[in-house]
Amino acid sequence: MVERLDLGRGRRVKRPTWKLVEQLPQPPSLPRTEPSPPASTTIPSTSESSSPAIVEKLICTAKNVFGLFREYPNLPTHNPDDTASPTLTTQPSQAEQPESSHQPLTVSGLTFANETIALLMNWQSTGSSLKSIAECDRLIKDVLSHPSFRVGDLQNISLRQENARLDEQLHAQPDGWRESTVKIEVPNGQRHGSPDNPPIPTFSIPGLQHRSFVETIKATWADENATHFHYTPFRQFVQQQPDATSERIYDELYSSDAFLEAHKALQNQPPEPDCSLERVVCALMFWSDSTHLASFGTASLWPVYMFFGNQSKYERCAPSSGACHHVAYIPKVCVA
Amino acid sequence: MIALRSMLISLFQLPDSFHDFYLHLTGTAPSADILTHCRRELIHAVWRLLLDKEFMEAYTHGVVIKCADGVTRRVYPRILTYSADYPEKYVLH
Repeated sequence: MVERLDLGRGRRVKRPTWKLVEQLPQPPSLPRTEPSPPASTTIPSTSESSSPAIVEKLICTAKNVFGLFREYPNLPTHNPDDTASPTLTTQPSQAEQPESSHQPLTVSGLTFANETIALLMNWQSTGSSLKSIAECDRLIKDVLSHPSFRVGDLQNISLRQENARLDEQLHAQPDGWRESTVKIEVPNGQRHGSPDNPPIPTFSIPGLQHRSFVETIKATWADENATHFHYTPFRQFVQQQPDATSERIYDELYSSDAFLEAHKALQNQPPEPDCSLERVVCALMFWSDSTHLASFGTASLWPVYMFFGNQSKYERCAPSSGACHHVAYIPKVCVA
Repeated sequence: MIALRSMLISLFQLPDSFHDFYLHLTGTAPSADILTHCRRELIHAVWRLLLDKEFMEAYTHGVVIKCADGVTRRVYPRILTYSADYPEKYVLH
């Protein structure tokens, strides 16, 4: 029996890379019920003078295969690392790719259940190739099947005019950006302060574009992209051998001492009246730098950016994650 | 120090009209020290405006937000880091 040879390009058996063969580092899972007793310790609060001694109970998670474990100041209500996978955090959601070709198809010669479907399929397959299946589904479900949809209303429609009307209405609505004028006091070498002296001269600088911090925070936290936000800070350790001493791991803002201190200070302050909601820290990270817009010229901007430290740095630093929020543009006019 | 000051001047410019304003006010052109001082005043005035009453209210009493996981929490904004390059940091302090 002669072994049959496969002609053409050879086939290579694909082996999984070492990253897949090796187990990916899994974050320690949270204690679902009561805190695990073996590692939990009870330490008194730092403010010993206050009469009701606030006792903090540290909650340690079990070690994972790499010896990683976390120490939470209180039982967290949300564990974003349960759902966050490396592929999820690094790959932004891709829009569905269009499946149509540029070649026009005619209705005749192809069989569809009825003429309406044939017309629609013809429309989807011709013209622009950006009409994905999902978008066409949306057109059918949300527009064509809507009880208020009437073909007769579209007789004299001009999409150009309707777009212009939409733009006007959108411009009339506030988009959160405000323009303000900043006043600074200018020293002129004279004494001020007493009522006899002239007032301090001020100089106005117009054109500061800025947004409300609170509105930005509200919008970001309620957004579904904030599912992986960490609300409870923790300290992370690694113990590679059972008898080795554990080492602290510094990686994220929400595993830093600064976040923990802010969290503890917040829990120790008196709560708002009639409010039993969980109190969490929104860790703001500001960044500002003057930037030049042109290689030849003096056009420049001075933006102030805002990031959230509750988000993992792997997610935050990905350019496509949309984690950066610009909150202000400081006026800057270059002197020639 | 000279290099630093020149960087400050190139980075944090006041509007053109500031020179005329100062000349009209005092009769002399603004010195480098005056310009540095005014730039510092500018960035502090900007931050005073950005950290408005609404933000300070949220800082003290928190804002109630229904978070992405469906749980409503009282969120207190805290500024943990501020990144800036050295010339900018120089005017912030």
